[in-house]
Amino acid sequence: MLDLKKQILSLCDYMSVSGREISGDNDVFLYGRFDRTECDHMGNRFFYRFCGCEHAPLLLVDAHFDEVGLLVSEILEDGFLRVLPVGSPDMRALPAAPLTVWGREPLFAVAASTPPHLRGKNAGDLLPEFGELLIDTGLSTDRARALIRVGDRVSFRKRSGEMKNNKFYACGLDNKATAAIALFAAASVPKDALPFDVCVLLSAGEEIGGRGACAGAAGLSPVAAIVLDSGFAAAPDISSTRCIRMGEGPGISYSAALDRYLTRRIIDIAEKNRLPLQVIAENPVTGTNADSIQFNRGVPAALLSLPLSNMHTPVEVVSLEDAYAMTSLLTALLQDPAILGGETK
Amino acid sequence: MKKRQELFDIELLHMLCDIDAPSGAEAPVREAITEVLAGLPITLTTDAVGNLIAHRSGSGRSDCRLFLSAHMDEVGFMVTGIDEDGRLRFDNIGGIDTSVLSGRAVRFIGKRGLAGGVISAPPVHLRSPEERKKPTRQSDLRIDIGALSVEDAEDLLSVGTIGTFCSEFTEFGDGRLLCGKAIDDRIGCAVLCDLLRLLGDESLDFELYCAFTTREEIGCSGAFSAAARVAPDIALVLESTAVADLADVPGASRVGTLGGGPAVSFADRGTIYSKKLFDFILGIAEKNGIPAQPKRFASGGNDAACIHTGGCGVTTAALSIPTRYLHSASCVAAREDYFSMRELLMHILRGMSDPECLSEAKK
Repeated sequence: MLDLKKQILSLCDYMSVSGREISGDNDVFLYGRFDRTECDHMGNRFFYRFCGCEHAPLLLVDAHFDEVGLLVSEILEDGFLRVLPVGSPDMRALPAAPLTVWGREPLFAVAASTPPHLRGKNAGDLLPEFGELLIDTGLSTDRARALIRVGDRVSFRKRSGEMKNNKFYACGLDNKATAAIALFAAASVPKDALPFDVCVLLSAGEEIGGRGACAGAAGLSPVAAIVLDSGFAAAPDISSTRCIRMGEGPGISYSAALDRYLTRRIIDIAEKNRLPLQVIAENPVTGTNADSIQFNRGVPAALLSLPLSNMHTPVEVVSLEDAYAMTSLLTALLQDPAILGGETK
Repeated sequence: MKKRQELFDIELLHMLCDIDAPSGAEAPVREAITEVLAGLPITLTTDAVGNLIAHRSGSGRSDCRLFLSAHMDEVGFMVTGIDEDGRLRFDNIGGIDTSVLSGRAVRFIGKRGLAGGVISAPPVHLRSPEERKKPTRQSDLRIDIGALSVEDAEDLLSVGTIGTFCSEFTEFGDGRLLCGKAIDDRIGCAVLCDLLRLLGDESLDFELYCAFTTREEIGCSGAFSAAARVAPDIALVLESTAVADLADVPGASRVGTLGGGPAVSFADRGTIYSKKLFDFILGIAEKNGIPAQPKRFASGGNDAACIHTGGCGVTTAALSIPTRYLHSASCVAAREDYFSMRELLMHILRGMSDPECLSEAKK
């Protein structure tokens, strides 16, 4: 029995700030269970399972693999750096945060916080702007220049911890959690139960505009796509109707931009298998790769979301039970021939 | 694993920083220090408010009492309420800037051991552009331990439960710098422990009292009691102080520089220090070629505020390890400053054994 949580956390350890998704070897955990694996120039990774029939249709399962972070824009004296955002990291979580600068080697660093005596009367009410934020590497000027280059990525320090009720926190769970789920589910379907070919796309560049999925889907020509992403976990202080409740299974989104047949079919299969699923409406678009895949590439797409809180901070939280529920649902979907039906068929 | 008694300098500091002991709950640090100091020619006393005081008798040639202090407590959190959805409301123990809270991991000393959690703010995506530029107000922050309801949370903790930042002690910047929670003031405690052990059986002329104090972060009440008990003539407070030697920060606003040796205060928000003692300490540093620096800004405050006004007044100095991002999960100090502080103190102690020197410093 594979340990899903361990797999999720092992993916979290990969540095994958957008644009630098391939930071090491391509040997992710279930590598050996796929019939073929590929990378492309966008930084996308493809994991195929073939059903064995010639000219079988292809179902795409997309989960983005990149994470928000920072990039080095200037190397100052005494090992201090200036940075720019990659995607939208939560600025509020930066002051005094432990970080990793991915230079010639991974370097521990701290995001500087401004001590109260240096604040103007009201300046304490504001966070530093990106142009003001300093990253402290503790290195000498020369060593910093030797080890770090402008453009190098900076991520939150990779750490995780346990919480009550099978919840846990880690950095990069958006979207490593569903990336692990996609691989886990696709690998666990027996070969003879696959009604079509499946490609799991761990896509690059979602946090900076969905470009990886767009190019990845175009190269594959799938018949349909199921996109997995992280969704906002509900809390009493959030009024948005886009939220899903943590611990009550994945969410599925109705959206004018997405395929209604596919969405409906997924809801039916969840009901048939008595799997928890929360239906939400995101209109007109979802802000995920599902938009890019359906809207820009004309592939019918549906969106499943894993409830996640503290998005884009170093302490993103998910529930392992939700992750297992999403895995079970996806495993069932990958064995359903009717999923490829489509709105117009 | 090494016994606590075998840990020196940075290893000792690491061990002490890993202990969770916010103000009012210093017992685990006190126990650790008691173990570290076992077997030395000292008398250890724990007083009614939790201070640990080590007394080392002098040769009898002087009845002068020298008091060294370092505080054992750290900043932390206290659960003040549990919301219906199981998330915690909390207050800070000691002064923590709101801007360093959001997105940090914390741990509580719960009913069944440590309970992990994270400080949560509503997601940035769902906030207005104006709100995104501001730190989330403390009243809007919650700590999420994963609990689903009040009862579920109460399984692990209750209102009044205390906790700390959860961070890993890390050496970085080519090993020059140290990062972790609670460096303020476990670094003072570690220096003081090392000092007592390095002195060994060496004879000093005066009576030496080393106090590991409680509750500095909430107003220095521990030091007040400890000093009242000892009634010292001279006091040296070993601290860590907030500096801002960051790129772009000019001149005195930097307060001090990491790697420049202990910062000696002329004044801060609680104390105007003895000019004689200030000069004496910087003079010893200069004479022996030990890095030290005047603290260049009258900011912050420490146990000296309570100590120097005790009895008929106590000649007091403060020596602080310059520390960036004080009172956060990631306090940063320089390894070499630890050794400069320790060496300087050894010279100060030996210097004070000279009766002339002692009376000079006391003036």
